[in-house]
Amino acid sequence: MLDRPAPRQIPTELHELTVAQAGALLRAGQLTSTELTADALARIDRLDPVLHAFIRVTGQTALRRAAEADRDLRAGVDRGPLHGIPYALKDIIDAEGVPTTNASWLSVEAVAGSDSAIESRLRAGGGVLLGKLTTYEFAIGGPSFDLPFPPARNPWSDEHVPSGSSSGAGTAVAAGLVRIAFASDTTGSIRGPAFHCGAVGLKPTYGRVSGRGARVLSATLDHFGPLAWTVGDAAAALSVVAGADPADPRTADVPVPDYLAESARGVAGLRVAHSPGWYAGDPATMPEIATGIERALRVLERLGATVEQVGLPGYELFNACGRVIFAAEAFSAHERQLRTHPRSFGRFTYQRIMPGAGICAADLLRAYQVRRHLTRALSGTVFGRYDVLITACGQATAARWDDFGPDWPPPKLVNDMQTIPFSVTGHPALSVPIGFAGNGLPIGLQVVGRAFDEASVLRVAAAIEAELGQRRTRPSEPVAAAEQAGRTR
Amino acid sequence: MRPADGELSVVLVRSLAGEMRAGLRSGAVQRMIVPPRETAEDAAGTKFISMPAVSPDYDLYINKVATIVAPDAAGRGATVTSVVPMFSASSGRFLGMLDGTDVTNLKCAAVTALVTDRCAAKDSGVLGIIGSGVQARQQYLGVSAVRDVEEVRVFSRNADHAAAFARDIATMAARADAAIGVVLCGSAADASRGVDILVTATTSCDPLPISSQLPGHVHVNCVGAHTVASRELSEDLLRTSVLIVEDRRTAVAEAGPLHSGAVELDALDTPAAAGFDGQRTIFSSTGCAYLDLITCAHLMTAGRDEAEAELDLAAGRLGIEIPADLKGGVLHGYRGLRDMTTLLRAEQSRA
Repeated sequence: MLDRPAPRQIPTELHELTVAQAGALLRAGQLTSTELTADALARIDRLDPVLHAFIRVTGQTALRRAAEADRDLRAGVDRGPLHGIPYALKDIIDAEGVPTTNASWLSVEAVAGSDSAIESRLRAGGGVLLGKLTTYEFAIGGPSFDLPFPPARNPWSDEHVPSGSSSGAGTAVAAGLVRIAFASDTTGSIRGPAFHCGAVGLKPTYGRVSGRGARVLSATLDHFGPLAWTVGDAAAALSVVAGADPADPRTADVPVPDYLAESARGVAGLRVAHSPGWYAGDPATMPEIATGIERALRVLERLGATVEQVGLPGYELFNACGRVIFAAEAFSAHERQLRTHPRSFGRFTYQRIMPGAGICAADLLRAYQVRRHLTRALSGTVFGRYDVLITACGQATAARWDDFGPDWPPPKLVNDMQTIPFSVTGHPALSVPIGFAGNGLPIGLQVVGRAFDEASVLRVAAAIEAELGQRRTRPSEPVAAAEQAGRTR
Repeated sequence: MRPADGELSVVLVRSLAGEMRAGLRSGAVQRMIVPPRETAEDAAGTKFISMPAVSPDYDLYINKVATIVAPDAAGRGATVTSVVPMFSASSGRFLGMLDGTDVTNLKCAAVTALVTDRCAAKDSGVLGIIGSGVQARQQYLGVSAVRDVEEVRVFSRNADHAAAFARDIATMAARADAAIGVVLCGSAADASRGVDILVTATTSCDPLPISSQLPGHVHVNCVGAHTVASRELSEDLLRTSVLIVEDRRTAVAEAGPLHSGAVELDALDTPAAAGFDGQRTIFSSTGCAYLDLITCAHLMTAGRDEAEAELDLAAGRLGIEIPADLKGGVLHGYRGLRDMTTLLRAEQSRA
């Protein structure tokens, strides 16, 4: 593993402030949300013509909401940890008055009539929406060029994709365009881009965050949560959007702790399970990832956690279960338009959704049944004895653009993400950076917790981040590329 | 990959027989590389067998490997375990693995259909079967795929097995909506008397006591012992009949010089074979890997076609027509899902 060389040391720039740091300055009157927002908009203006992380920037609205946040703070009204903090939404999540395009020709002009639950809580919490982020079409397609918007670029390398489907979120956070992005994760769409872009991605427990007002892809697998530059920022973000929503029956009424405070409690006394079985012996796993996970485990032991190895049910079973459910539900969500407007879907999207037409009810019910068994097995054998589980998030660094051909699936691409098991079981799972591979691209690991115990996940992730995941630099290539291109939005 | 539900359908047997015939006629079989099969045997009598074949036309390399554990002291029969790994002949890529028993069973039924169709009288209605095991069953399937059988005469040394096999034939016939009478016979001679087609599928090392009243036009499918030291049919019968073999070199090597004038399968479609009409013909099967290869290729294709048909049907019910230029990726995804549903079914059964 390499610690990437530091071409730009910019610790004092505003986009480097964490949520807590920015919040402290805002509350102390040393910084205004308007300044913070204007700085973010300027950075987006400078870099996004190359990165394509944003589908839409809501600049004027953002400045107006920032001014409101400043007025509130001056009046002594503090709406919470994200008060005055800019953020962005994956463009499948509604914000009133703003189009939710799903990156699709089918909904390119579909203006949201109301806020999603996530946006509603963020607005109420004083957050400042900067805009809508690039996504694979309907959160499923691929890095496509036949959609209304160009695909996002990986800020660490122009030759590699940022992963998906929350591609814009991963790119925007890693490039410092925004410190928090809210996205969806159905089989790994938060954790994948976080892993491949060097960010933190948290898929909360199923039902922890409401999906009302977000485009449904797979109703029983869709999760919603934050990508952030730091674990603390992810914790702060989750605190604002977590909680029961009477309008979304998928959510559960479970108390929401102060995640930011929880994340700083350290790991002493925590029981950590580690399962290398899914990745360690697989030649597809980059050695840097396996050794990085080992380093992280040693760090946790040194900090007072107990680490023990456990066995898990076979990965292929989780994968089969998740893929069958995903295929059937995704097809169901798009059936009408597949019939009426097949040519309006992107090529990858169509080829990924349409196979679900062949899943019969018996196979889907069987997959649900196997999911119950797997969830019970994981809850019993692992989380009955341990607080968290450490495993791989991905097995390799980001794929190359030229790995993708005209048809799905990409011929050279292997399915190297190991995120789907916890989409199937609904346990909270987080991707945290652990440095860079020999090719200069970021890598990470996955921390998984008991249902509704995101706090322990964040505690462990924060400890790993402090030792292995500190990134002293931002990706330099997009900056250089943008400056070279001399383009502005 | 397995044939549907592990049971061979007449439709599949018939389509594979057609594929074999096409392979023989096109020269694809002649262009195959089929090294002699190799057998190692240990002191306990266990056999370790390797049967490779490579085809540029089918872009396939297979090697059916098997172990045959000798009958034990208690007389329990030999145990055969077999698998067939498949690779692309051009890229070397591993394509998958088939159960060797499935391949063998399907192959045997199909090659029987192929040969019977060319050699047996068109109006053959009476089938005699000596034997009641797995191979006897495949032979019934193979014959019934190409002839309208009206009566099956069954004999087996074990009366219980014979009765069970008779019930099995009745069930298969009912499924195929065919009216077939099954007669349990008290002897091999009784089962073979006056039949149009005779099947010998036994483990007997000595010539079977077949009726001397075999009609002159009878066609015999002999799939049991066939070596010089042990064979199901008498030398007299073999010498006075037209012999058909899969591969003359293998037949001579294993069954003796009696087979040096035997007709190979690819000659069945030539004018020379037209003179068989009214003659007694014997398919003296020794097996050959080129037929295993065609069987594997056919199973892969059948698997692909089945997936496409399923998906088209499901989409069609919903009023969706998949655009042709998008179908490749959709089918790829669907095939993967089928494999996953199979895995889940197995898991549910296990649980």
